Amino acid sequence: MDGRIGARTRALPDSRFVAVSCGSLLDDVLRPQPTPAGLTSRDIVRKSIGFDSPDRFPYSFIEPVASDFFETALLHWRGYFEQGESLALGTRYLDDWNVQREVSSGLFDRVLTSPLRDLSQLGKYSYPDLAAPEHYQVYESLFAKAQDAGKYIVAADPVLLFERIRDLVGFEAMLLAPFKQRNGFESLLDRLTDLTLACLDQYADAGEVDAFMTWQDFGAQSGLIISLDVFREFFQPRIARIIDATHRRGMHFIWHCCGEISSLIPEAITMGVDVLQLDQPRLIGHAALAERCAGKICLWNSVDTIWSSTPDLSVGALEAEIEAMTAPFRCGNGGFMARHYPQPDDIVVPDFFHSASRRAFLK
Amino acid sequence: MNFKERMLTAMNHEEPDRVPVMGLIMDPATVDQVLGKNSTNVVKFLDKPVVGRAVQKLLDSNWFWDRMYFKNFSGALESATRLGFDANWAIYAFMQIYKGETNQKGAALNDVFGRVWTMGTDDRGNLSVDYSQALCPTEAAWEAWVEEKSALFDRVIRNATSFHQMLVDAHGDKIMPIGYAAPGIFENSWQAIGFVDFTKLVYENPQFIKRVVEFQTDFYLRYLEGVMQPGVEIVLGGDDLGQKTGPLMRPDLIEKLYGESYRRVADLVHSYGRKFVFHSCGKIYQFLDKFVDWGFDGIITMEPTADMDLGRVREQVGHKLVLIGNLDVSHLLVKGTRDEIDAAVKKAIQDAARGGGYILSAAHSHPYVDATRLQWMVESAHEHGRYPIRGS
Repeated sequence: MDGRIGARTRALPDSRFVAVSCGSLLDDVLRPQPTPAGLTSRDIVRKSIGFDSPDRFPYSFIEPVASDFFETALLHWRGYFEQGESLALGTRYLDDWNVQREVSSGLFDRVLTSPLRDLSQLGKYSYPDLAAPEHYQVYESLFAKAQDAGKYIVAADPVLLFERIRDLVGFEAMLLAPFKQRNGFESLLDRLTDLTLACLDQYADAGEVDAFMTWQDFGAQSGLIISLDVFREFFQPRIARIIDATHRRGMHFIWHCCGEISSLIPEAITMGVDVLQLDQPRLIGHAALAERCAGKICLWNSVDTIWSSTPDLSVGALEAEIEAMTAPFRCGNGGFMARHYPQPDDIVVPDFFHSASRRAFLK
Repeated sequence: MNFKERMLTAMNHEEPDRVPVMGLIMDPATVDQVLGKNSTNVVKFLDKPVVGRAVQKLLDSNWFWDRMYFKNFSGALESATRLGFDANWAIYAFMQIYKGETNQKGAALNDVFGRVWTMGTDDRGNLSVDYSQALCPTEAAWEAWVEEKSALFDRVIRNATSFHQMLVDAHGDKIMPIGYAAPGIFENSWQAIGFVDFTKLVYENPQFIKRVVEFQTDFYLRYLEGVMQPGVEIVLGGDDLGQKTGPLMRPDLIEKLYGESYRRVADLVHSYGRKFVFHSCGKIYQFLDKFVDWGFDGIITMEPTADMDLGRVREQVGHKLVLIGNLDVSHLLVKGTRDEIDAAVKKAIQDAARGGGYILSAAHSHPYVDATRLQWMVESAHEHGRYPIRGS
């Protein structure tokens, strides 16, 4: 690993459990951050999520690494990358889910064939054993170290309901499936939900985990990918089940969602999502986000990734942007956490971006 | 005024004798209900060993599709005439049995553009044909496909011309056949590649996407000429730019990729002295100003289930666009009561018909649309659509 979080590690012959073999990154992640006396990073994050007047904005910065969080996703994330990581661009392979992929330049390899386009074949489908205890043994020592360092521990959802169903069924077929293959679609959703809950149990057994984080992009640039009715009928009950289970284990539920998802924010609040993690806050607007979220759901946002790639971006503009993002939350109640986008290779930002944004967030 | 004068007057944003009513009848289920026929759903025979092979052969013949489409739309125009519509759309398509691998159930067909359609049976036994697979996910696959099918593109245009000519000849004295040239440039380009790959290639290989759009634009312009040749005076272009929640792609990206193509489409249709109406499903408020800018004469669908409010559309575009549609097909024209239909028709007329420029119609078609409710809609439009429009 080259020390930058999010960089792919194709060169490693066996990149499983990167954290174990990557001492320097782990040390960076575990390095304590400045906190008021008697408080840990974990306390500050929890106060922010609980709207309990934290002393500063919690943060997770990547260049250089400085974070109140310990995120398993940054170190090792089962289910997506393992098999493609050591392969050359363009190589085709079957992933753990029997999805045929082609190694691509971005973080997620391109899907070539989806094994469950015809959901009548669901009975014959073999699911990967993502909840096998041996996959989680590595986390026991890591979580203990993170806890000792006072970090807020975030466990990554390896199933990713909506993302996975898109890969397994195929994008276009997935849009039709609620109407054309309803029974199979619901069965698959239930099975993936059960698998998510089993993984959640394994994380909980591995240590004191503070949050379970999922990445499910329901938004395109101009609106939801599926209708709100389909979300409410098919996805909302399953996600709510996962959230309830997360809360029963004493964890927060963090939801990363790309796109223009303003219509999902009330749903997220109703379902009990604790933290909404947005990388494109400009699609909704900073004022609108503050109005909808303040006091109800905590935000853990990056500077808008598309805006960040604007040619001729200046330090002044970046500072003004961060002021607009954070001003509604500077009154002291909490509800905002700062983040650098963790896949810097996928966006083009100016050299000053990470240091200047870090300074502005900490101001 | 006769049906044609009524339609063309409304298209010119003038008030005809009454609000014209356009039919979107195309599904055999609706046609059968009006004409009292029983169509045969060939899909159910595909599993039979001997008959199935014969049906497969039939589905693979150009002759069958030409005859089937003409028969179906001839029935649709006859049905629309009987129900009292002033116009009805007509669409030609060219299909072949798809011989490649697919894991879809039912009969897999491919069109000339490189997409698979799955022909199946819905839960009421009606025939359904759905886009199900892209066949050209890469530049190499697309180039190979276009080369392999090169001889077919001209044939598709010839067939479409003859299809519309036959419909005009058979029905043009009783109802206005509206030439629906679909799918359009956007759908023909992205659906052959697949949405996910297409949206990636827009950034990763923009020159390829530009070539695809240019190819589809050139084809579409020739196709439109073929549709207009028989004397079709109002042409519909079909490209769904929206989904229930908003644009499928950002409007500024659509402008960048397709704006020039759409301007060429409008210019071509106008050069023939015809009117161009754009069909797009979904929530499309963000495109309305672009439709005006591209030179379109009107738009059709305005699905209420996608949050499209006719009054809001009229307020946004004024009389720069003729508006067609907006009557709900999720409940109203499937199970709605006569009072509900009457109220919806009155509201649509109040919202959009003053000064002309509104043609009343269903927002779309599907097999569950009930012919009796269509008739109620027409009768209500005849009763409440007399100009001058009164009421608040």
